[in-house]
Amino acid sequence: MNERLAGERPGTDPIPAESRRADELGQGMDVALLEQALGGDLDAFNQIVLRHQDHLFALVYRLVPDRDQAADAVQEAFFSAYRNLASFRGGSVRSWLGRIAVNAAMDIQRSRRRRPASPYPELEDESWQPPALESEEPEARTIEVERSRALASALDALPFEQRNCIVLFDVDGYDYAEIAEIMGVSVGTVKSRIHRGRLALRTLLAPVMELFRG
Amino acid sequence: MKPGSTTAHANHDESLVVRLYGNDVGPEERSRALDLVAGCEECAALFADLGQIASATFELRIPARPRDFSLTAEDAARLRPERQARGRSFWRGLSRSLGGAFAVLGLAGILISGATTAIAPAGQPASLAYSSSQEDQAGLQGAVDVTAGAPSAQPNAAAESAGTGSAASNSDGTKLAAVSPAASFGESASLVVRQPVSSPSASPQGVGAVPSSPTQPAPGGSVDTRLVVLIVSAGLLLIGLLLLFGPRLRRRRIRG
Repeated sequence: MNERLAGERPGTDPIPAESRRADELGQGMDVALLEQALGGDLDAFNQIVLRHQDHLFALVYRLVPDRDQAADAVQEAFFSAYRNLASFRGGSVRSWLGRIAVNAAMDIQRSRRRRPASPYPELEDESWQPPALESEEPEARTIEVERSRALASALDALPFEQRNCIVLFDVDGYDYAEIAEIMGVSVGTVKSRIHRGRLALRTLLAPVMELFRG
Repeated sequence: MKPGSTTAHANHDESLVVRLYGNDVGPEERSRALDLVAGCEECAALFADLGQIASATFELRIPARPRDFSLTAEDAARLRPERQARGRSFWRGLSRSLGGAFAVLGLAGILISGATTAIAPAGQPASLAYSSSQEDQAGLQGAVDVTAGAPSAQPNAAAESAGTGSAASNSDGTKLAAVSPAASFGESASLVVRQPVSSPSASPQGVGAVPSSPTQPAPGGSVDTRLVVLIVSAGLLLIGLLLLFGPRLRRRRIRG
């Protein structure tokens, strides 16, 4: 995975050695916990849950713009992971869980397509929002909320195949090949979905683009 | 045509700019895309907007996680019933026990097989230890009788002895004992030694080795037997090691 910070150009950010080392240590701990979980240790599995639930929820929420449905997808992903511990074939536990979560999210997206719901209902409700930082100016916060709302709506307007690819690439840092594996399509299809999705997003956001340029 | 004008931009390939942002262009395309971004305001704005949108997507406000997703004991029981865990534990224990037993048996078999080979009497040629079945198959066909005045080897008598003994009775009361030093190496001829038969009861049936016959098995069994023991032991050892260390190898594979 190529963790990429927001705003940075793809392929231009070498991962610092310290960060890489921390990742390796984290992976080693994940694998050790997974082995214990394979032996029937529920506490070990729950430690994996604690380590990855925030990341998975953030990932799935961007794919399924409904907090409850995203939570259901994440819970189902952890159930599925526990049921299929033996199917882990090495590599990164984080990526493995990410794949399971994306598949769970896609199942929900398919069911949503059959039963459309209002997108991002939480955006209308300030109560769920993360607390604002003290340093955050009220005006800046307002702009950020507006921007989030516009972007969330635009993302929801995209075909979910395009949205998934963009989120996995831009947010979670998967590369084209990894996304192709997760989505079960060719690399060319992934690239095409990302490029078309970006253009569509820009078109959708054109009227409010000033929010983003500020 | 002035670069950056709307008319000019209409002819520009926006997808090339998008692919440049996605780092999905070859060297030639990259050069063209960079020219577009450098020379066309619209293309430059598109490129900048893509970056802003990607940043905003990354920073999209995420609601607080509504709950803890840890599994409860009930969840675990539902997802992986206890009997499955018990079954796994039982099979793990069984495979360890069987693996240990097989490995020990295999190792012992190999050692015994090697030891019997080592302690075989030095004066006894290895060829004498060949079993009758080998002799019968390879040696007695077209056997050469080296005894002076003796009739030629009798294939019938030799055939009768097949698989039952190491010697065959001849019509004149002598015993035809096959000695086939190179029988197993594919030679077509073998020596047939004529010896008096001490036990008449053995002759009609052609069963039983003649005392002090060269075909008497060497201590520890014939080479055939030792070979079989060796192969079986090696197989047992292999199975035992797989049962013992297979799960560990699998865990190592999981670690990647």
